[in-house]
Amino acid sequence: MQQRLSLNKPTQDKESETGPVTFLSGEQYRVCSGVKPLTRRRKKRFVIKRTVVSLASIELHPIRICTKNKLVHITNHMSVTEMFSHIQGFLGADQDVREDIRKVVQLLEQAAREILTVLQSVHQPSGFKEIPSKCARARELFCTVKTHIADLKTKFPAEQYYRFQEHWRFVLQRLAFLVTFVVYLESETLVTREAAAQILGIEVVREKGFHLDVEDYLAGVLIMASELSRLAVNSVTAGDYTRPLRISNFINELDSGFRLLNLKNDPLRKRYDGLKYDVKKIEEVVYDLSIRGLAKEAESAGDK
Amino acid sequence: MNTRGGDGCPRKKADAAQDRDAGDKPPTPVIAAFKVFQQELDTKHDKYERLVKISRDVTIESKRTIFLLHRVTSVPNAEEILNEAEVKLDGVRQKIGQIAEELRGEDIYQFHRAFTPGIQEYVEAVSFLHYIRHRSLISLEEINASLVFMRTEEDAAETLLPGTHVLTFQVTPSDYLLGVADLTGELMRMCISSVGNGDIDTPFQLSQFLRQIHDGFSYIGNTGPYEVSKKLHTLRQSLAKVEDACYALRVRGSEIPKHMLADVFSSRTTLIDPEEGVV
Repeated sequence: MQQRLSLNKPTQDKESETGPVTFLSGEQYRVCSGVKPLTRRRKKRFVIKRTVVSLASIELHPIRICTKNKLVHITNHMSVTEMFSHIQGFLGADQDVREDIRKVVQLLEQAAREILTVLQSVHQPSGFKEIPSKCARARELFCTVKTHIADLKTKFPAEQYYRFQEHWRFVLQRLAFLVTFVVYLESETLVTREAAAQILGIEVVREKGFHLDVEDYLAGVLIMASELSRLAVNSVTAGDYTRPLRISNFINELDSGFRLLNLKNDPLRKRYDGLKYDVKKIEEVVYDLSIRGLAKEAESAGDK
Repeated sequence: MNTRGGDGCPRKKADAAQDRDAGDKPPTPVIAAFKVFQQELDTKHDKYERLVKISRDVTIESKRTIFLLHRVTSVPNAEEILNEAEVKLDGVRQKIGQIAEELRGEDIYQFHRAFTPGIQEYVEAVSFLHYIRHRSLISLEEINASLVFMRTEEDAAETLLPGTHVLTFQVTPSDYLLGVADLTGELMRMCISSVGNGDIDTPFQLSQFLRQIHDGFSYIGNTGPYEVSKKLHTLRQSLAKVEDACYALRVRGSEIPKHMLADVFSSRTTLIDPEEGVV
């Protein structure tokens, strides 16, 4: 792949008429009518110009200039077999990259499972007192996640994020969930996308590199919502009657937030459709508490 | 389309409700954040829809070009048809230029699914034209070479003024492969129809060419994307049809009136077991 990066290599003088043609295998090229035989200086200028065009696979296929008016014949040297082995080269390289990514993603999944195990203990009756310490422990584990993600970034060209996205999409959503959950347990607020990305050691906007896609972040938030509905139930069992009310407020706010989005018929939409059941569940818990006067009792207890 | 239209209505209501809320009290941080997400998602979805639309146009025009090219075998002045096809493909390229415009500064793989069918169809058309002209397989580089667009406010192509920008569209290797796989189907049709016109050489050329492509795909095997292996099956059927046609021509061509040959192939090809294959 790399040896095709021969844009600056001076081509034969005659061919240089065709603009920065590096791959002289075609039969016909449409050549830019305006382009005079390119001097080397020009070519450099052109190359600089082209780097402005951000393109995922620019180094894989060098570009040539062309417009409609003039046709230049270049004889064909490439047989069908050569063409296919050429393509196979791309595919083979692609597979290697995927293989590397998969290995790192496995480590990430392992780390995510560990964090989840730590956080699961908050559902235990004894766990409610330990929430701060559990969160601190989870925060520590996020450091290993950070290093794994840093490793993952080196496995593929930064501008090809979406090409390989399906490999880490699942685990990134899990991680987004874990981050939002930890921050909720700590401060009972919704973590911003920026803060979540920061905890994972990644960017928010695509242009800066490996980033937290907005859909992945939202998916993480939705996973947290169902986790919170579970937490509401368990906190009642553990005798904490105020928490469900706070969770209820929070989830309602989330729900009205999601209502603002115009979701397409995609995985995120499907997940969002589940949010109403979480809302319902929490409302039931709040109802149960209030008809028994437990909510009020808790409130007055809180006032004291 | 319907779903988008359906989405539009509740959205207005939600917006209105939101505006009312906003009048009462300032939006909470959560709501403010979700407003940002709303914008971001809408921009993305709109772009996706636009790309799907262009891609559909590309598909339709490419299909028409292919139909036009099939007429080549039965018309005396083939050159005229080829030129007409060239003009049509220029139109398609302009459309692909629009795709490139949409994708400026974006990750092309983020929206790849929106336009991949159109691009595959374009590859099919352009490689079909190339085969008819030159009897060879167009390379990925050649396809990409014709997808460079100069966008200028004035005619500044020569000087590459700051106002100019070069737009390229890169066909991915897998789109190229899938397009070439589709091409074999067209070649098979061309083979059969050329026999109908009494052309005895073309089927043999075609069968050789198809065999080369088939070998190429076998070489790639399962390293390619999933769709390639699916298309390999169809490819094998097309190849078998063409090979059978050549067989029939060789064995019985001298005995049977030419206009009946086509019937001979069609009755033969039905006997082919689809599971039968080399690999």
